[in-house]
Amino acid sequence: MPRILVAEDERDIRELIGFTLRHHGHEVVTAANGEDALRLAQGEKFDLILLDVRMPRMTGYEVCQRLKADAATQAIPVAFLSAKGQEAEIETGLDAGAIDYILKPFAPDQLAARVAFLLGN
Amino acid sequence: MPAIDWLLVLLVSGVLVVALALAVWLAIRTGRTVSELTSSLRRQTSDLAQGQIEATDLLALQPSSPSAADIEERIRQVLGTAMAAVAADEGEILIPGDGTDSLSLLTRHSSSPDRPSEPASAPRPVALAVGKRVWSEQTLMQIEDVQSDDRWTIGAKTGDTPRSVLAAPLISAGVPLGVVLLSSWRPHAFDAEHVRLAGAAGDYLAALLHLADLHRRLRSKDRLIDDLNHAQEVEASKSLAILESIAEGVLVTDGSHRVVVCNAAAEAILGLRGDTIVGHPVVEYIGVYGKAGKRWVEAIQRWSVQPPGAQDLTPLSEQLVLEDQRVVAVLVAPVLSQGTFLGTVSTFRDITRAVEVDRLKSEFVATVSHELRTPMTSIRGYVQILLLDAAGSLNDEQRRFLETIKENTDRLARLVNDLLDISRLETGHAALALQAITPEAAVASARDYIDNRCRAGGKALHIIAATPPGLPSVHADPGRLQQIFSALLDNSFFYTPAGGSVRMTARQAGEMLEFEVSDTGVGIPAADAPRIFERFFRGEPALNLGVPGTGLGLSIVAQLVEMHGGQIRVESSGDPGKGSTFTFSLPLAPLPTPEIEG
Repeated sequence: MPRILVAEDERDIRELIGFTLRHHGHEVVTAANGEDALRLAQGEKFDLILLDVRMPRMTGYEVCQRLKADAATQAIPVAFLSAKGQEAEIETGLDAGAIDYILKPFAPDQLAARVAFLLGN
Repeated sequence: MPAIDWLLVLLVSGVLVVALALAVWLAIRTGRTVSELTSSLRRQTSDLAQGQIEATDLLALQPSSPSAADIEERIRQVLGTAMAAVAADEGEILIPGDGTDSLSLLTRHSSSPDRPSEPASAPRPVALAVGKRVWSEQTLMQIEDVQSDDRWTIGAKTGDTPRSVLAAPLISAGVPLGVVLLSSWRPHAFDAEHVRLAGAAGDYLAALLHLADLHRRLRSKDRLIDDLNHAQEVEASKSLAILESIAEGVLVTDGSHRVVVCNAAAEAILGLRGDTIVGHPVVEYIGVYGKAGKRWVEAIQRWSVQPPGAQDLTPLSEQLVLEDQRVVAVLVAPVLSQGTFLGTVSTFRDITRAVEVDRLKSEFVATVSHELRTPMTSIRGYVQILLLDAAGSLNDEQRRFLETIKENTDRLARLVNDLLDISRLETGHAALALQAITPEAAVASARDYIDNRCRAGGKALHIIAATPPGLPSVHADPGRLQQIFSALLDNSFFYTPAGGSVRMTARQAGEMLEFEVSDTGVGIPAADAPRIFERFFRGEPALNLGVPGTGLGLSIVAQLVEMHGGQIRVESSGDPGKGSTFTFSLPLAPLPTPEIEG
């Protein structure tokens, strides 16, 4: 069963994503901020990390950069979740090392399909 | 005879005898006859008088301009001299008065000691009568005896009245200026020589009067010029005051591109000192303003070489960014006079604040829209999960209610997207990714869209998509082109009843390609037609049919079409069943440059 780490500071959305992905058969661990996400990623093994871009204290970009800089977490695929869909932001995200940029608001089934696609690769 | 009279006679005759004896003795001594001698004496006397007149005249023509008082004094002197020359008792000079044909007294001179010449107001009756005759006939007149001359009817004698009168018109440069009258209490007092002298005096008096007149006119012209100059100065300082008080900066350049006017506001806005730039070529200063400054210089040079026609006077509008990051809007316009380039006038306004406010506004709209997306994600997400029965199965009522919530959040999502879109389009934050797109491809994907719509919406419409072959490609952003078609097709879908038809086609129109989307729906009422592309405008049919929408769709479409450089129009008779036809044009894709065989 694929293990997915989700970092999202909005509680309702965090629970929505958790519920959706579990419903589609994944194991989900959630974090409410960037530091917790980093700690969890270094401690356990994950097949995919979903990061919300806009989080307090440490943004999703920063988390991604740190993950990619750390040999232990380098190889884990990372995807961003964001309400901002401008080209500039997307480019920044992909430059930071992410493999995808998922726009909010997303329908849960869309999210599940995207995650399945990302895990498949 | 009384004794005293005999004595007088003896005395007089004695003087005469002595005079005669002297004359005879002189004649014998000089060998000239008596008559010759007396006439020579007379001539010398008249020459002497003439000489005096000439001398006076010379005085009057001094290089240093005389004052009005000087001229008047000289006129009196000449009159006095003329009177002495002809042994007149009184002299008067008449000049034209206020009414037509009326004469008034300029000056009167009397030779008798007990009648000092005082300024009098009116001419004597005799003088006036004679003067008038002379004035109207403009010829010299000699009256031997006024009393026996039946041309004149004189009233009761008041004191001394003139008996002999010599009157001459005063004419200078062909212009009559007045009349001079020399009179004597004795009749037949004047002879031909006196007449000649009077005429000569008249000439010189005329010259003096002319001089006085010129003098007067010169003074009044001087006054007029002074008044005009003063008025001009007042106007100029008023204009300057106005210029200095307007909040906008004003800079004026002349035909050789030098700064001639720079008001206080321009100095403040541009950070320049007026006294350092006035008189200097303007290019020295606007060169610092980068590309905008360059365009400014080019415009000025273009106008001076080829002055624009009167109907082509669009000013150049630029935005300059100064060193301190302030933004200044400048409008530069040429100044023309009868087709000649005279210079330019530029106005400046500091729009830093306005630019800042604009930026804050669009930031605000963007922030709010993003903020709205977060709760929307939650709502839609949970509703979807529930509808998937993932949290337990639903009864029909629960399902229906949840569907309602979903539809409404969909509407909300569309509104937020549209708001964000239009705010980005209007503030220029959306860039187009232009590509060459074939009309067939565009129409085909539009067709797919409306097919899906009809399927999802459960409404059957006839779709006709026909693109003539061989049409050139357009230059457009594919995503945005789809957006344009979708918006137009959404409208067709909503406003056309089941069984109606929607038609799409394309055609070339000059340098552009036109796409046409038409339907057989309710159409657009004539009253709504001009406003159909306005933001948030929703016409009556929308409200009547309960069509969901924000009123932003068509304004976004119009904005997108215009961003591509195209135009959009709608034709609708407003009759239900005739529908509407939207036509929008897009520029053709540039032809690919042929590859050079290497």
